[in-house]
Amino acid sequence: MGSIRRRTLLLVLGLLGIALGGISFLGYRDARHEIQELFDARLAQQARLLAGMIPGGMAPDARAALQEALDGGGLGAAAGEGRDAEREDGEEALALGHEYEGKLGFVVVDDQGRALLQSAAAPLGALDLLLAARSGGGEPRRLAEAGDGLAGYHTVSLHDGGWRLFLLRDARDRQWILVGEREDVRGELVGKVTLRSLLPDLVGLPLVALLVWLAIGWGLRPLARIAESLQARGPDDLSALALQDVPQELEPVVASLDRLLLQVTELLERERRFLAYAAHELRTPLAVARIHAQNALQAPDPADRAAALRLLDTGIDRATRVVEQLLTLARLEPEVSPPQMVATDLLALARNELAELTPLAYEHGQDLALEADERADFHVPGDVGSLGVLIRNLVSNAVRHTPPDGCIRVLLEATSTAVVLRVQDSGHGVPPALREKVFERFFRTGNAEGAGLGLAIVARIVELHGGTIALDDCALGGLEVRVVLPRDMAGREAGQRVSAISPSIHVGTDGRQRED
Amino acid sequence: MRILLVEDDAALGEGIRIALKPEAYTVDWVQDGASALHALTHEDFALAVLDLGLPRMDGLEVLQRLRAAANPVPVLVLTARDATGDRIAGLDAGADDYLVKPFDVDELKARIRALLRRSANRAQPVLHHGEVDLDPVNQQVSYRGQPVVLQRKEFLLLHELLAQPGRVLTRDRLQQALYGWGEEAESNTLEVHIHHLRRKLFPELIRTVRGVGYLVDKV
Repeated sequence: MGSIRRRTLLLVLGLLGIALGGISFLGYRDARHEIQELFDARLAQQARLLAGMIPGGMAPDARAALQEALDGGGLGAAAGEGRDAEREDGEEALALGHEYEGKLGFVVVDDQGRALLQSAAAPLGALDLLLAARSGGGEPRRLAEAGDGLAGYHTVSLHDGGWRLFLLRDARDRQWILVGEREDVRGELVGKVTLRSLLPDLVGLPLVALLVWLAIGWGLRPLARIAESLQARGPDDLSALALQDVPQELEPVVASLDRLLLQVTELLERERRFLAYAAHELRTPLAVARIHAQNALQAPDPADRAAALRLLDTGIDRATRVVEQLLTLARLEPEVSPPQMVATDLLALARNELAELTPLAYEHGQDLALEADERADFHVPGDVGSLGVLIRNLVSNAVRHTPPDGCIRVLLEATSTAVVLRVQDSGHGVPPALREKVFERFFRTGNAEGAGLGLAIVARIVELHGGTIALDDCALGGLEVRVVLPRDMAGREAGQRVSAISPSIHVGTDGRQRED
Repeated sequence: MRILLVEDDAALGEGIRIALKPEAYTVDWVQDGASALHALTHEDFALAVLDLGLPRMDGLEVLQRLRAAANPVPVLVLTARDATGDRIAGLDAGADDYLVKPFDVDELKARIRALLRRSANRAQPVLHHGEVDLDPVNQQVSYRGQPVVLQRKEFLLLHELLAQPGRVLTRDRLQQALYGWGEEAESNTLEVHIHHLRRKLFPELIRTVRGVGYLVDKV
């Protein structure tokens, strides 16, 4: 995208250039108009002056003398002196006079079109052109017939360029006075006037550019300061930027950055804690495995060795289970893999999970049963895998904590807004004081050989589904774990990043259950 | 030498018990903090191997209460908590040694021996008493430089007596040192072992304090 500074500078200079161009054009037009008027007025004045000075009945010899003077042949000494002075003044003065003399001229004609008097650079063809234009392309009419209508200003194009003319009819002396000057005289002046007014701007533009460049740099200084502050910090420094006097435009950027840093810090802290816990919790199974391995090595007889190896095997099983649970827990972090929320039938899921767990319960001599109203709808939006883990963990927990010949009940209830799952057992329960602690990672009660992660995993899954979990006593004498999973995820706490569920999915994949 | 093992993890406790079996110790095992405190308060143990993460009472609290009651029993803490802060907390709470899981069995045994030695105020691993030498590491006894073959219980008894010369050890105390919980001793077994020891070594080594117990004189 390039530099903001360069972009802004080009923009400012571009707009400035356009504005300057517009102003100059208007100035040029205005100057030209004013100069036209002034020059036109002077033409008219000149014509009237000539009309007054040259009477119709002028003696031919006087006229010839005048004509000779105009032709530049008989300049008087006085006039010559005047010319010398003029030569010193103007650079454009030539030996014959001034070069502009070729651009100015007049002619005096009678009604028959005969030139009575003319200057050196008289626009001679102009009268014929005017007459021709007047007659509309036919035979040129005579001046006498043209009448007063022809008098006034005209602009014609002659062989040496465009001329501005003023034609005056001297009715008293029955003669016409035509005064004219070449257009480029005016054009040159207009150009010079415009250029003069434009010149300071053109010279000033680079200076303006420099100032704008510096000003943008100054304006962008807060940005540079943030950049410096970011560059200066070490890779481990994830503290907030803590900048003072942040300009209003940068506040959202700095705030977002700080929020991001905070999130990253929290994430890292959670990872660190998790690793510490994981390392801690793997030590015991490893210690078990190691001590039995060493006992096997040191065993005096084969029977002892076999016993130690069996215990070693159990120890490795345990380590494996801990690792699996740790991985399950790690995968439940939304950052690792966002859960796939689909409409899930909890009843069907519970049935499958209980079918898997029943042999375990039988092994313990326990009675395991599922109770639910078959006609009710037990669909909730959820991640099938996670919800399976939830049920499995709760039930196997109950199996582990219930003495032989005990019983375990799994109850499902459907309400309009949620599905309630209860797992009850006839075990020894959890004292009220410990009920909060059991959800902590690696908390264990008694000498159970679990990793202490089962309920932490359950709590995390419930949280991801926007549900609630509670422990209580139950009629069976042991513990009841009550999980409420909402049907509508809209009520979930903000900030949890789980893909939204479209309401249409709520109808469920199994339409028949819906129709009941 | 009687050792109390406090470990809530059944598999690990079983492993340690098996590992210590060939050693010259009687090992008793409890699985929670409250039982550990009770046992250590009411019975004589030469040493305790204590896990920290225990149900009913945390190992650290057991330790603090023991020391608060001025109980000097040497305690080897065995734990998965390996952070330096945890070790410091453990040692400051009154632990004599600290071993982090997973540990080497031979190291555990060596540390137990070292702790017992230190608690008996000895620097030498081998117990000397006149011309009798007892080596707890190799479980060997010699008299006048000649090895003497002893039964396990006889060795335990001699170890107990030689470790505290000049002190009368009651019959109960010696019974406990020889037999852990759940091991039933016949009423006259102690006398039988004493008799064997006197015969295999020399009669004057062990004196009987009638009605009270036995002692080995200070050299």
